[in-house]
Amino acid sequence: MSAPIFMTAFTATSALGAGLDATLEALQSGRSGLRANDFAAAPVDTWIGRVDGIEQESLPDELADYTCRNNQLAHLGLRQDGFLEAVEQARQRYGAQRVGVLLGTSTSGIFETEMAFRVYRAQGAWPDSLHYREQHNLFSLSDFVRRRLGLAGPSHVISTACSSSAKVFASAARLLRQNLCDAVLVGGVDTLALTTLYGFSALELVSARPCRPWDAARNGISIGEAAGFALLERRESDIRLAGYGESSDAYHMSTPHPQGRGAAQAMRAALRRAQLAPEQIDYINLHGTGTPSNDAAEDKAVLEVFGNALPCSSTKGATGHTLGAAGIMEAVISALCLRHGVIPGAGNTEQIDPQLQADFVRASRPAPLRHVLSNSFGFGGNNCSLLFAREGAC
Amino acid sequence: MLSVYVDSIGLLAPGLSDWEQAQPVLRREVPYVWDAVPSAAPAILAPAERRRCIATARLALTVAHQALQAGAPADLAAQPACVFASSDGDSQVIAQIMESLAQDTPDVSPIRFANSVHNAPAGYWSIATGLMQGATCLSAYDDSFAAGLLEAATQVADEDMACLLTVSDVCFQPPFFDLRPIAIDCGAALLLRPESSTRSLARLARLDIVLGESRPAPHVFPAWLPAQYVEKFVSNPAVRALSLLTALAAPAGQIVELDYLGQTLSVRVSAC
Repeated sequence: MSAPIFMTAFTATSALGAGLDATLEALQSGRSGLRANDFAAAPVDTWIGRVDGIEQESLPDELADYTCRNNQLAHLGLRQDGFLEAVEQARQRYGAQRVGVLLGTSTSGIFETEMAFRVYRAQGAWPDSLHYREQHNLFSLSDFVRRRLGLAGPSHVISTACSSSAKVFASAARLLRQNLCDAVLVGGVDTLALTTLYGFSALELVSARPCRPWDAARNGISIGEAAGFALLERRESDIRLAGYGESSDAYHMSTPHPQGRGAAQAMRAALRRAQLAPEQIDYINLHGTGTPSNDAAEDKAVLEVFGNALPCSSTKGATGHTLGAAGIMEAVISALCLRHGVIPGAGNTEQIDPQLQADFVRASRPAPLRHVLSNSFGFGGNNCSLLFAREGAC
Repeated sequence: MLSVYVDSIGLLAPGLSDWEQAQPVLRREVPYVWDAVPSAAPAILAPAERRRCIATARLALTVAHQALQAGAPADLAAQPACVFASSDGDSQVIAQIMESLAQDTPDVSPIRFANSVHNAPAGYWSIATGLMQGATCLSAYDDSFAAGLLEAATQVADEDMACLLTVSDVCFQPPFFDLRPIAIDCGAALLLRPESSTRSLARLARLDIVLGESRPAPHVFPAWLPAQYVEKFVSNPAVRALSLLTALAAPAGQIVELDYLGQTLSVRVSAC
């Protein structure tokens, strides 16, 4: 990419804990944050990646109408790792109108609509507690964050299912290069809801056990929730957004192309933009959801582009599949891996599927990393690969 | 400033069935006549997808297909990227899922769940056309058209490739109509190309886009629409595209100003 773009601040909150320290510790130790489903509103027989403390999180009084599980997690996530302060410094440095806010979510505040609908059915009227624009509409997330942080630059929500918060990096990079912004706050938030728990159940895509990406006996995802944010600027830091690639499968609404055609196209596009050869990539954080068809398709795509000698793993056994937040969650994990020299393992995976040929890493190990690729593929065949580089000596 | 070229246009709203039919109306050469929007799935979809696909996808695909058909044959071969801007989803699908979830034993239809994602139209579109470039689906509530135009224009300028911008929202059904009273269907599509592209016969106009300070402009709906329909039209955020399309119907150096989250997206339309 012509003008280099850097991640000058970042944070993530997931089932692994609030903030980077808890996340890094889990990646290094192989700890999983999954638990047997205790989300009382949706008693599906599965495991979930739940974040503690969301229900206690309160929003500022003037933004009370935005209160919903999704924005509460956004607020909890924003408060970690000095991220609020980093954004405030950017706002003062560049001016509010020069800082954009591009976030991804797949379901926004739909949990509150699910609860309100029960009231509607019983009483024939929506409860006063429901604020459609501030809670349910997809833009609610970016709208809340820009108001909370006093930012006034270009803003929207990208909602392309599970690639949502990867694609925000591509859109932000374009805004920066076209000089429409001096900094862009990117990220994403998705939270537990009945729609996703029962919806993925109906598609027979959730596992009754903690998800096991790449395992011979893998049988579905564990749904998780997460909030992650990053500040992108032209100002130098140790983590650079080296490339990105976007593609569409043009195949099926809820099943990936069996040969991973669109996935391979996205990975190649990221390499091309970064002007890197496949051999220069040190690790891939896979989409690796743990469904039979997803992992098989991604394995084929990785083999086609990189061969079978490149270490790769999925961290969804640790965080769960955080859906619209998966892109930012794994972008932050990629940045942590680069910064701290670690290839994270996949602790739940017991026996690697002999049908899959990529070099899948089960146990975390230290490794100097220069370039890391992160894959995010969503429903509708919507794909995005991000490529991050570590600046300076490893 | 971002400069992009418009090669072709798709349009569907009450009384406006496509760009050919709409131009004399937008130029006030013939009077506007209200007519219901047909809800048929576009022929570009295969029968299986035509059965499954929902109102938002039918509308978005119809206008996207119009724009692609009206463009130069090279446009399809050049594989445009796609931006789908829509404030809201399909209220009927959400209502059906909410109803299922409110049962004692929730039982969500798998097809409905797959259709509930905001990028369902983009998924159906890529399946129908075989287009494999990236598709970006976004919302900025009432300002979704301005956000989509900025996203598409930055893709064209930065990636130096064509981009098909589709903006659409469908009318809402009860009970969600109480929460978001969108009263009509409205969709528009613009096939945008970079300056560097070879001049095609299809090229309609040049857009110079500037993001700047807010200039509070009165929301006057284009004069071709009779007053009794204005309230229904403005209930749908996608009609913001009609200001630009009205200027495109007679490109003579007009400037269209679009509200964008407290700033103004100024679009100068010139003939080329």
